[in-house]
Amino acid sequence: MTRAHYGVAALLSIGAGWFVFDAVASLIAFPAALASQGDEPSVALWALLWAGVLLPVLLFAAAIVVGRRQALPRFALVTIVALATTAALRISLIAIAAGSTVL
Amino acid sequence: MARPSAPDDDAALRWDYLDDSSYLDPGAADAEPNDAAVGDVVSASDRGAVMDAQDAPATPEQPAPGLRLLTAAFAVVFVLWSVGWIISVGLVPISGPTLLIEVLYQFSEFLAIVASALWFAAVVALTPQHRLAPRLGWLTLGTLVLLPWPLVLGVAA
Repeated sequence: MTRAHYGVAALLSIGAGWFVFDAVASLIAFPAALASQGDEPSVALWALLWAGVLLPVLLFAAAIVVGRRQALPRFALVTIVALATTAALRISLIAIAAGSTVL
Repeated sequence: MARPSAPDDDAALRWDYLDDSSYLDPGAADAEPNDAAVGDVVSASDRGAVMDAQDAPATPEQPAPGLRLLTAAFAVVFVLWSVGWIISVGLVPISGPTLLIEVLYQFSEFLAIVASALWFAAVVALTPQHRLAPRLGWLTLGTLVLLPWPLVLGVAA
């Protein structure tokens, strides 16, 4: 990896960091909101909340491992794909969590 | 250029010694009518050797059989997934408490919509053409990971 690779990784890690921040906010706020209604999160809901925290880190790390030997444009493409996949999975997790709370 | 019949003392100083099998005629690839004179002197086997020497390095790797069909089939799936995500984003309304967070949510929804296309482009760009298994594996993984769950759950409900 060159300096440019590290620069791109650092820049895009801001996006991954925001996804982690948002997931941690949900991890704190969602159980608190349920507790205020006299309810507790189920094990499945806890798993979904923690998946939201861990997935951005795991996907971004996997993208760096996969793309580390590639040229800079391809490395950037792989890391952007990781961020886009994180965004899609986050919406999927929200949909599944909303479905589980309704059920 | 015809070779003189009598011994030529200057032959070593020129590059036109046509009986030498290692001699490569720079105009042979053009196959122009003027080369007929050269063809009279150079034997057929020598000419074949010359053509082989010119053609050998430029042999590209052939794509694996079925790779294009497989890629095209997955392209259709990923287009469907993109359409699914456009619908899914509408099914899961997310709004932020501040303008900045709202903008970031909107951008993440845009990323979710283009994720399928980006995954497909990355797999096509990074996997080699002559091996089927890596491309098949990564495209299958993308199909599973990027399944538009909000739409699937909405249809199931």
